[in-house]
Amino acid sequence: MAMEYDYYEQHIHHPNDPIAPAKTRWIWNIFWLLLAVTTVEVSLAFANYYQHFGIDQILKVVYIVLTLVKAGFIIFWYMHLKDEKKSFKLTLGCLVVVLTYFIILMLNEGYHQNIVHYDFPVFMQRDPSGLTGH
Amino acid sequence: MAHSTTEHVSAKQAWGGAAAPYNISWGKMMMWFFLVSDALTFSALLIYYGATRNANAQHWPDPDGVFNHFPGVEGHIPLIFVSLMTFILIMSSVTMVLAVDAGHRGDKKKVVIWLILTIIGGFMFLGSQAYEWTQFITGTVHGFQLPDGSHIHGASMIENEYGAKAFANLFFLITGFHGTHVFSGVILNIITLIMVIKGVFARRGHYEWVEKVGLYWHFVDLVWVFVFTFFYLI
Repeated sequence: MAMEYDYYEQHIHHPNDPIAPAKTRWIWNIFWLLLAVTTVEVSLAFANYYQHFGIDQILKVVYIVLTLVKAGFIIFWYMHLKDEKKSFKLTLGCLVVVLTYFIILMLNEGYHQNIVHYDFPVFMQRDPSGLTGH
Repeated sequence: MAHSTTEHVSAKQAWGGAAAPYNISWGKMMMWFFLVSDALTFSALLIYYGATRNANAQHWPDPDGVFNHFPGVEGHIPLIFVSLMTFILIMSSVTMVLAVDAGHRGDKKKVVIWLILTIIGGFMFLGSQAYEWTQFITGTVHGFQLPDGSHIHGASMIENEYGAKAFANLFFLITGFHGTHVFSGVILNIITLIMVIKGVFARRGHYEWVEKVGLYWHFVDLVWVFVFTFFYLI
């Protein structure tokens, strides 16, 4: 066969092959990291609920960054994406480009709809004044 | 893991067929592509949530004022129960990785143990979500008084006591859609467990099925991480 470029072969474990000892330290390390990041997020939110410091906008950015950090750990380590080829990671990365565009567009759209006081269709509403949002 | 021979060849040879340019099995690659499509669906829903929230900013309730129940506890404590849910799902992701790792080493017993724990975690999450929905639908004692004098309590598909209609509608839609994914993931895990116990993968010589189902389960966890942030934190 002329083409032998990265031919993928499954690693076969035969019935009497020895079972290698488990090296799972890294799995638990990532777990502690995820737990720590989640604890930080929840603690910040909890503290901010009971005591207002006026840093709401900064906190939102912090939450999003920490969430992306958690997502990164899960995707690259737990889903083994770091072990895949770079070209494959780039293929999946197209999603990130598409989403960034969509997020910025739609959040702005919502913000502008608020400014213009656009009346959403209010079928099944019992409050015609619209003031309560019901 | 995978045996590969790498040579420098032309692009036409690499992508011309009968080769694996990504050096990944077809099944795993297609699972990744499915997860990308599902990520787009969830992203569309969550981005719509963001846009609607921006558009209805004045009528949007504070999540900490709505989601503040804990089973068996009187009074209002925000965030604790949903943090517990997040912890449960992350734990189930950990047990799933351990199951996949045991599969790589061919250790059938360990795969079974870790898969069972993952399934239990999934059911615990679903039960917790059911509790959250019940509290949300039941609502508070005082409810909300409309201009015509009537009161509404809790939430339904038509109206809710907390604020804008979209708040309840989107909560049901997004957490319900995610819950459906968790449920289907649990079913897949149960099917996988049965197959592992019957020795399908021991005979096959590899546990890649477990890895693919594991990818789906991690995706479910990943979506929850984002739902948790956007619904409860921000």
